[in-house]
Parts: sequence; C-alpha cells; structure tokens
Amino acid sequence: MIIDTSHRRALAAFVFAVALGASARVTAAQTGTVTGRVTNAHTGTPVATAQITVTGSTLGASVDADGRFRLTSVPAGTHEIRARSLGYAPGSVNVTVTAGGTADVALALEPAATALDAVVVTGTAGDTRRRAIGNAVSTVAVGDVVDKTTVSNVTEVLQSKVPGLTLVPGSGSAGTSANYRLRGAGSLYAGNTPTIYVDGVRVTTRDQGNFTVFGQTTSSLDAINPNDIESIEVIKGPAAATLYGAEAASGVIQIITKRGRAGRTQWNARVESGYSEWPASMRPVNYAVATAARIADTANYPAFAGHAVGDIISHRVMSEPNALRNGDLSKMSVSASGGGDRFTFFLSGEQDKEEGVNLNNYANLGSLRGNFSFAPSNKLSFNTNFGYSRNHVRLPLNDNIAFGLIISSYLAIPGRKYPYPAGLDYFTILPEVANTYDNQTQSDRFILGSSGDYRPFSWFTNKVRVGLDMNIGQAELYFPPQPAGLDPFSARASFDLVNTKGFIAQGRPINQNLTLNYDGTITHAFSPTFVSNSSFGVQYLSDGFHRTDAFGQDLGSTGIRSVSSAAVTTGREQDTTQKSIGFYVQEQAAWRDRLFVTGALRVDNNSAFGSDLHRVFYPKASVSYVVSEEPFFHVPKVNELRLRFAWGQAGNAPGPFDAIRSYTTSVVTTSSGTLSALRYGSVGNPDLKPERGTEIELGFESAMLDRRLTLDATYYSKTTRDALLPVAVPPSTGFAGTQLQNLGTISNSGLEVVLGGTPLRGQSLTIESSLTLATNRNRLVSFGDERDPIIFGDYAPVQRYQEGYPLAAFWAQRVQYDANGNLVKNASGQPILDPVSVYRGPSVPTREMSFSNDFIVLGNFRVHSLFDYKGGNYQFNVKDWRRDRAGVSWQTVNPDADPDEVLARMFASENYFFVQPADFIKFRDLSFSYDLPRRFTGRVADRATLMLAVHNLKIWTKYGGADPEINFNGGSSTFNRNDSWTVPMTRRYSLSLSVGF
Amino acid sequence: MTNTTTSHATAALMRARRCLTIAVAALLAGGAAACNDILEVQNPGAIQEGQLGDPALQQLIVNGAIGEFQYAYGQYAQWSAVLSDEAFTDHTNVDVRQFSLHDFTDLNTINSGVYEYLQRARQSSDDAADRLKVMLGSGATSSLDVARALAYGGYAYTLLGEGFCEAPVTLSAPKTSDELLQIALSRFDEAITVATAASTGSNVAAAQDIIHMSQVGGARAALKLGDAAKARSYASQVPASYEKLAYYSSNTVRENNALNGLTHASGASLAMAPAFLGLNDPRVPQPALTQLGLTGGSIYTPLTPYMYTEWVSSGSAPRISVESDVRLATGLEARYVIAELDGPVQTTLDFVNERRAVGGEAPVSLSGDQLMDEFRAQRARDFYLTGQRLGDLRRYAKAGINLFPTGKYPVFTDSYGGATCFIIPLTEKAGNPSA
Repeated sequence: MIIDTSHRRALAAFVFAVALGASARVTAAQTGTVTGRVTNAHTGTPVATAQITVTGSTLGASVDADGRFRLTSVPAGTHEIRARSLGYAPGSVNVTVTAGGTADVALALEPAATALDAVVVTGTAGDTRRRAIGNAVSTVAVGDVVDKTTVSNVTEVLQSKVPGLTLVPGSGSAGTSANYRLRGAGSLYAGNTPTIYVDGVRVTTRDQGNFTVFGQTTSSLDAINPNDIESIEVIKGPAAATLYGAEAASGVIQIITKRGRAGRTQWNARVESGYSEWPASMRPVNYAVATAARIADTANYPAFAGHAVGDIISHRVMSEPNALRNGDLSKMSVSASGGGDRFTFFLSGEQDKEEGVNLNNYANLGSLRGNFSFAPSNKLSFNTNFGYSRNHVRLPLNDNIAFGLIISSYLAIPGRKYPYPAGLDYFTILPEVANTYDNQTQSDRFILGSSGDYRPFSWFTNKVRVGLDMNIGQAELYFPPQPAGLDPFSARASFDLVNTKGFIAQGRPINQNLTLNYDGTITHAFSPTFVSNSSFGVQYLSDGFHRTDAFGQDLGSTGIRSVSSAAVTTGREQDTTQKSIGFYVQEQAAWRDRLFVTGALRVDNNSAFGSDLHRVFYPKASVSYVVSEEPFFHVPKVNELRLRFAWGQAGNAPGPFDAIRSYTTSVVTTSSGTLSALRYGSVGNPDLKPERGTEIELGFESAMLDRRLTLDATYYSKTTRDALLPVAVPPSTGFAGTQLQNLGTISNSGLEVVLGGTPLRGQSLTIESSLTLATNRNRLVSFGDERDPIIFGDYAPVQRYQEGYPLAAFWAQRVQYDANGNLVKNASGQPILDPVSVYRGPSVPTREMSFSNDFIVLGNFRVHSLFDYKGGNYQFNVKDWRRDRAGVSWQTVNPDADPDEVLARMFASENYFFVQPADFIKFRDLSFSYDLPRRFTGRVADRATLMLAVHNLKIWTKYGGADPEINFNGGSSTFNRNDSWTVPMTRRYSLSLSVGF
Repeated sequence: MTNTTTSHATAALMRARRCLTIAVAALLAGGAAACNDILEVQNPGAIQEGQLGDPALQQLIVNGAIGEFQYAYGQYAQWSAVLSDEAFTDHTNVDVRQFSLHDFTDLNTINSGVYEYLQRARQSSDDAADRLKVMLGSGATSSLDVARALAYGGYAYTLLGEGFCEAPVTLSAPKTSDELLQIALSRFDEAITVATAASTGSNVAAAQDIIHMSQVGGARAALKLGDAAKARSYASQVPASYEKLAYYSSNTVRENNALNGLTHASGASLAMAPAFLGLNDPRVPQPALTQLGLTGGSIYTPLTPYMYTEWVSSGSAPRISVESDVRLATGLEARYVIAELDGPVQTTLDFVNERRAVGGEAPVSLSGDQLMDEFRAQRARDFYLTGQRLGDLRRYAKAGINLFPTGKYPVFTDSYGGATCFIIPLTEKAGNPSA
C-alpha cells in the first residue's frame, strides 16, 4: 500500500489527536458479573438480536440465540443495564453488583413499532437515537431480507425496501450493476449516486474496472457479501446529509456489518442452490413472408425451401441450445460469533457462484470478514472491521453493439442464412462465435476500518475512525487469432482495431479510499429536563484511482495469451485523486427527552474546487417532537406519534481535475518514427464550486391500534443550485468538449409513506404486511443561461434536458397524418416525419410502490411475498423499434396489417410508437421457509431453516417489450435510458438451508 | 463538600466547553482554508499552461501540431468523401445517416466532429508557431520547427476553406472560404520564408521538404481562390517526384488511418458511390463482391486507393489498413494544377493520357470541354479518398459544373439533400458570440 505524503500528514495529525484523547489512565476497580436474559414482553420468546450496555460505561455485550448474556468486570455498585434491539423499545433495569459477585437480571422488551430509541449512526452526532433526529432515516434489517428471500448482492437487498431509493437495474446478466438514485436526480453532471460508507469508511462506487462491453458495467458494491451485513441505513438528501459536506447532496447509504456477540460461540451456515432463466415467453418471435425470390434462393434462405409463396416463416429468437442456458447458482457461507465481556468477534466466509443466462457470463464472489471489538476499560473501546472479497465477473458482449448475440438474433430474418460469422437466424454473429467472447474482471477488495471510542468523563465522548477501502482489479479482454481472417467481434468495437491476428488487453485498476474521522460530543444537563449535546468533528477523505492498461495485437497463436508476447504492444495510464476535508459543529438541545432542536454547520474544502474557492459552508437545522409522550396527548387509537422537521444543505463536488486547465500528450507518427506530441486537454474553470443542494423535509412516525399499525410519512422538497452544467467550448479555441460552469437549478419533491401492520396475530397464524409508496417530481428549473434544450439519445434523439421538464425526459417524433388521420406520404410513397417532437414523459419512475406480506403458520412456516410497482415513466423500446424497421416483427409482417401503419413503423426516424409507458408490477419475491423442528435437528443444531425462493416470478405491464426495468448502460448511465440489446431481469429459483449451532 | 465538588465539576465542564467552542470556531473559520497542503493533488498525465514556455517542450509542441493535423486530415478525407460524390454510408446512426443524405443541421455530430478536429489542428499550429516565436526570439525566423508548424497550419486553413461554407478563427466572426484560403496562403508564404532561411547545413533536406510541402499547399489554395498566377508560381517549383505523407499507424486508435474505420471486413458501412463504380481502374479498386452494410444494404466497400502507400498496381487490392499512409502533397498534384491552368491544350491531353495509362486505359484524343471533363475524371481517380474531391466539387460548381449527387440515395428510400459544405456547428455558435 502506498500512502502519499499528504496522507501521512493527515494520519499523523490524527494519531496525535487520538493519543491526546487516549492518555487518560485506565483505572482498575473491584468488579462483579451481571448475567441475564432478554425476552419479548408479549410472547416471552428470546430477543436474539439485543445489545446490552451498562449505562455510563463502554461495557456491553450481545445476547445469544436464547437471549442470554453475561457481563464481567462490572464495577461494584449500582448500575443501569439497558437492552436495545431493532423493532423493540429499549428496556432497562437497575442492578447492584458486588465485588466478585454475580447478579442476574431479566429484561422484557416491548415490541415498538416506531423504534424511537433505536440508534442511528448515519449523519448523526450527539444524541443519535431516532427520536432525537429531525430527518427520516430508512433502516433495512438485512438479516431479515436474507432470511426471507434469495439475494445476489447489495442492490437486491435494497430493492423495493427503501421509499425514495430508485434502483434502475442494468440487466439480468450476472455481475452487472444498477443505477442508484435517492429522491430523484439533483445533478446533471456531478452524479446522482449516493455516497456509500461501510462501518463508517467511505467506499468507492466505481465499477470493478472491466473493459467495456458497450453497455453493462460492474459495481464494486457487489463485492460486499449481503450475509455479512447487519443493517443498511439510508439518509436521502441534504437535510439529513449536511454533516457529510460537499459530497453528500445525493444522499448517503451506510452499510453496517455484523458484530460479535458475547457468550458461547454461535455458528451459522447456509447453503443455497438454484438457477436463473430467461423464459421463452419473454423473447419475441420473428416472422418473414415466403416470396418466390426467397424460396428460389436456397443458399441464402435455406429454411424457405418447400414453402409456398405467402407462407409465414417464424422463429423464436435465441431458441438454439447454445444461445442461452439456465444459469446455475450456488452459495455457501459460514460465520461464527462470540467473545467475552471485553472482547467479541464475528468471523465469516462465503463462496458464491452465479452463472448468467449467456454462456459466457458468470459472477463469482468469495469473501472473508473479521470484526473485532475490544474494551480494555469502561472508558475505552476499539472496533476493528476487516473485509476481504474476491469478485470474478465475465460479461457477455451485448447492449449497444452490433456483435452482441441479442441484436444478432432479434434482427435476423427467420430462415435466412447470413455469411459467417453470422449464420442461420443470426444476423451478425452465431452463438458459437459469440460465446467465445472473453471479457473478465477479477478484483480483490479490502475494507479495513478501525475506530476507538473514548469517554474520559461521563459528559465527554470521543470517537476516532480510520478506514481504508482498497479495490485492486485485473481486467482482461481477449480475442484469439481468427484463422479465417474474420474479426467476428470486431475488436474495433472495443478498441477500434481489427483483431484477425488476435488481441489482448490487460488492465490494472486500483482504487484507494482513505477515511479519517473524529467526532466529539459534550453533554451537559442544565436541568433534569433540559439537556444539551455539543458536537464537533473533522473528516478527511481521499479518493485515489490509478489504472494501467496494456494492449497487445498480433498474438500469432491461439496458445498465446500475454501482452508481452504480442507483436505490437501499447499502453495507457489514468491517475486521479480527490481529497476533501470538512469540519462541523452541532448543537442539540433536548427538552424532557421528547423535544429535540438541532442546529449544525459544516465547512468544507476540496481539491476539486476551483483555485479561487477555499471553503464552502453547509448549515442544517431540525426539530423532532415525540408528541405522544406529552401528558396532554390523548388521540384515540394512536399509541406513538413523532413529528419531525429538517432543513439542511449539502454539496456535490465536481470531478477531480475539472477545474484545472491542462494539456496532455499523445503520439504522432512521422517520417522519423513515433514521437510524443502535445494535445489540448481540459479547458478548466478556476471558479468552479460544488453544487449546493438545499432540502426541507417534514413528516411523522406513528403507531396505532395497540401498535399493530404503523404509519410513517415524509414530504420533501429539494433544490439544487449552482448545478454543474457543461457549456460547449467553442472549438475555434482549440479546446473542445465542454467546460463545467455552476449555472443550473434543479428541483425534486415528493412524498414517502410506509404503512406497516400486523392484521392478524395468533398462535397458529400471524400475518405481517408492509406497504411503501414514494413519489418524485423532478424538474429542470433553469439552465441558468440562454440555451436551447439539450437533445440526446443513444439510438435516436429521444431524450432532452429542457427547462420545465424532468431531466432526461422522453420526447418522440412521429410521421405526419392529415386531418382525417390518414398517413401523409411524399412523392416516393414514403411517410414524412413531423418535425415537431411530442413530449412523452419522464425516463425514471415517478411512482413506486411495494407491498409485502408474511404469513407465519404455527410459528415455523413462513410464506413471504413482495410485489413491486414502478410507473409514471417511459422507456425507449429499441428492440421493437429495430425489429419493426428490419421488418421481422408480426406488426410489419402480418398480411392483415394496415399498410400505412407498417410504413410508419418501418420509417427510420419514427420513434413515437416505441417510446412507451413503462409502468409495471412485478411479483418480485415469493418464498416458502420452514423452521425444522428440534426433534429433527437434535443436538446438531439450534435452528435449521429450509427455504424455497423465487425472484422475479412474474411481470404485468402494457410495455411492448419484455421488461421495461432494464437499461442498456446499466449502473454507469446517469440519464441515458433505453431497452436495447440487454438481457431482461431473469427469473431465479433457489433452495437454501440455514443452520445455527 | 458535595456541593463544592459539584460546582468544581460544573466549572471545569464550562471551561472545557468554552475552550472547545473557541477551538472549534477557529477550526471552522480557518481550518478548511488552511488545509491546502493535505488537499494537494497531482495529475501526472497533464501539462499545465505555465509549463508550455519551457524550451525543452519545443519538439513536443510542434509534434502536437503535426499530430492534430494528421488526425483531422484522416477524418476530413473520410467525411468529405461522403459529402462529395466519392462515397456514401449504409449506417444505422441517425447523425451518420443525415450527414450522408447531405441533409443535416448544426447539431450533427459528424459535421461538428470534423469541424472540431480541423479547428484544433489549426489552433495547434497557430499556437505552436506563436509559442516557438516567443521561446526562440530572433532564432524563430530560421527555425525548421516554426516553418513546420506554419506549413501544417496552412493545410489546416486550406481544408477549412475548401470544405466549410464558412468558419471562424479563434472566436472571430465567421470567415468565408476565400478568407480562410487567404490565411492559408499567408501561412504557406511565411513557412517558405522561414524554411528558406533555415535551409543551411544539415537542415537543407528538411527545409526543402517543408518548402515543397508549402508550395503544393500554396498552389492548392491559390487554385481554389482563382489566383492562377500564384498557383502556377507555387506549382512550377515542385519536383514531379515530390511526396509528403500523412502518416498513420496501429499505435493507437487516434493514429489509425480513419478510412479503415468504416471499411473493415465486418460491419463495414462506407460504400463506393455510383460515380466511382465499374471504372475498372486500379487507382479506384472495387471489390469483386458486395457486402452487407449496417442496415442490410449491399455495398461495395472502398479498397486501398492510389494515393495510399499500401496501394497495389495490380492483383487483388487490399482493404484500407489502419497503417496506410496517405500522400498529402505531391508533385503530381502540382502537375495537375499547372495542367488545369493550361486548359485544354496538347500538354494537358498528354498529361491526361499519361494518367489514363496508370489506370490501364487507352489514350484518348479529346479537346475543349471534353478534354477538361476527362481531366477532372482523372483527377478524381488519382486523388480518390484524399480529401481533394469536396473542394474540387465546390470549385466546379462555382464554374457551373455541378457534380454533387442528387436524387435517390443509393440504399435508403430517401433522397439526397442540398448540402455542399460543412457548416459551423452549434457547439461553436453557443460559445462564440461572434459566430
């Protein structure tokens, strides 16, 4: 590991600060032991997820599967023992400990629908209980998700779980990434991907470094094993993310991994097996009419032989055995958790193998994790988390490239034999050729985080965190030599090179994120009812990326797979670094532990700012009021009610070198050979500053009907000012492309509602239901300068940035019709394009709803279902657009079709038919799980659960294609949307067995 | 005692809070701004503006001008062919399609690409000459590098003048084709002056190369301007065997011969236009068979033409290689200039028959307009896909000879539009108030 000079300086400053804070003497005292058990106050069943703390100290423990705990080295005296668990109100009991003695306690926790006292770690300082926080925080209990369904990655864990988080999956190909967006797009250029932390360590959201496949990308987030995650917290905008400063306007997602639990070592193991499929019903049938010419031309139309003129020839695309497969899935994981009063550990290992439906697609993940906690004294504790994973992905050539198997099949005239490397029913490439495409990426991911909590006085807490996220990739793209002199994949498509002699590309991307963090809080009770928490902190972040690529052409032999053995070798290098530092102060005043008022200010500097800018300030304010705890509150049937309001700002920094005018070098060939040459680089902008997001949100959380029903609702309104906009650089200056300027204004507003309930709670049957709803209204308010709409699109100019409309909304052009609705034609009998484009709608969902149900029968049999609705948006159905143009769709071949409609559909520039409403309902998850009776598991296991799960079982949609949810450019595309040559979300079946012992 | 302890603790707490408040306020006020050291980042792949005055970068700067021109020239050769009658495309991309139909707007990315590359080449040459003049002081008047930058700049202006209806220069108002060609002439003249001054000792061969390159360029620009005397003056000084190449290689995509891009075996979309089909002339080799274009049309993909260094005079013509260099300036072109200025005279007929012989054709005996028609046909074949044709067609059109393609497009149902030159793209207009 290389840490540069500035990192060392920052690290030294931190070590100094830690040393100062940690210099207090650890006192020894006479101690005793506290044991106990935590149970559900209603059912008496153990609460196996409870955390135990001794108030006023760092002592703590987790309970075992039976809810039991043991605390040693508890100083003699009277203490308050507190128990907390997600989904329960905290409980406490006072206990007197004698030196050398053991005290036993019982803690019964009330199920608490709104979890007001659950601790939130993301974007908070001071009192971090949910009741004290004025903004909405979504928490996903990942263990519940993993136990109920089959999930492949973090994206699937979050899918349909967090209102306001829109996930646009890229494709159904294994190992491909999704696009994340929280509360709409607030930026045109600076990105809308939330900042992501793992246990307080900021991690990269870059891809894994794969060579392009012209669409789908990988995600480094997929290198995190869902089985290692305890929970995920999501804060959704500037009102909540102010304390994260200039890189948090798009929201923050915090992944919290599992921690060890004191007591007997608990082992958990899980095996899962299954497969994914692309059902035939989700692939179209191509048609062709048998004409005399085709019947006679047996060389080019062999399948037409024997047919009569007028016969219809058909072929379901990709139906050949070597075109698609059922992709096998296998997963194995094991974990151990245990420890004592002062030390706990969590260890885990996992091996996942997942094949895609393309024969050259797979994603394998191996991971190891070790989380350790150590509390040498009541005032001092340390946590160290270490995660390692190896992710190996092979991607097929699909999406926006003519040599993908999907386009090759979708546009082929059935029964026609195309010249090799294409063939019968394949327009550009045959499956046996396409399947040899070899684009692999392997990455080693290390996430190391260490934190120290020091509480020198009861009123003063300090937390120091150091973290490193390192992702070291190896990417390889290989084209063997083609003896026939053909370049079937067209290496040109990747590198604009002809690959008939063989080609290899090897890349070494390295990503290094460093996090240094200090947070301090001083608590002062001015009176028993009025408490102040003064917090302050500093955060230093560094994001470095380095990539080296080597290319070799003319390999000479299929046995050669090395750049150094190639006849012609070239290379390239990329190096970017972005650093930021931020300080904050926060004052939080609490009255009677039910009214909380918070004000905070953060100041940031960032290496990406223009040279004329040295700091930016981000303020925030919030109020939280647990009104239901007021004596005057008497609303029938309402058990809990918290009102909250938050206002805040956060930023979105430009790219690492966007502000700097620079030149670069390339090569030039002359009569003297190859020489280095100067090139214009970036025009830069010394005035560049971060985008500023301002958000106001208000809402409430409530529990009703004896806590059987919960209702949370939040309204937000977010405005991005100084939005970075690319301004065209006049090419006559020599520079080209664009210059970023802080010009635009973008708004987002919406409503988020979570309704939870237990309609039925009984011994034999319990039903738990949850309904989430989220809306988003996104608008480009102003470009900030005089400019025409920006029109773009990958296959046709169907998307726009236009003032007053959603960012990247869809527009379409249709052919002209006269007043009677008849097609207008030119002298050649062809349609005429209407020059006026018609607004269709947004390109991302504006309405999202999920509905989940759990039926628990006899306490050990569970049926889980999740339905997911997304809508209000449009999608460009490129597949059908191109099939119509190619004249292979039923709409164009059907002899009874309206000839004018056929003309219009086949007219190249017409796209109105194909920018289609993308609303859908998906039966996202269905699972059946059964807890095996103890008489079967005997002494071998404490618990064993068998689960059969199906993912993406069914879709209901009026969209013309198979799946409107996919996007050709996957997670890398901020705004471009279309359904082109991409694998739809696959259906996945799996059977798993989880054992705890 | 308890009260005293409590008050001491409270006082300590308050003192601590005050100290921390002051410290935090100080951090907030100055901390972020004072942390420039730890926010320092390096971009090892970039050269900053201030470094370009370093004499050690002299060669790098001139090479930059050459590299930008060669890249722009390759792109211009390809797309000016499509905008003339040399080639058309069978492509799915809307911008390519509209450009190929000669019916495009200032949003068209093909048009804006060619504009961007040529402007960058022009500005690189102008900047290089200016920087070197400052860097070298009085030595600039006899510097081969300065002469070289000026000569390539002259060619960039020439292509802008030949191919664009109008174009600005460094944020200026648009200049007409003739104004651009006049600037080209001034660059060539200055290049000749500087190279002549540098033509001493071991520099003689290199200086002569720049001088002849500039003379061919000057003759080309003057011919387009209708300045016959100047064109003849330049052309008559060029040796018949002179050749100046634009170099291409497989080193990087940017170094590839651009014509390879749309003509390779799989996925070809560039097609020989009807005007150049069936000639049976090795200078304009035609494949024996058609191949499928990207929208499924049957097209004849151009093979390596005469002015490309990998051209073969007989046998099976190769596809255009990424490494094929192109003859940018030649003694042959100078002879064409003189013959055209001479008009339909015997020497022109002799020259035409000499060229027909290269194409494997029997001599003809023509005169007057017929001879000049044949002259133009031979010129078209000799310079096929070298970026000469569009300027020629515009010149011929001014003289009332319109050879731009019209009517139905070869592979689509659409018809040709009326565009005959590249236009100023929106990217320039949006940021250049004078444009």
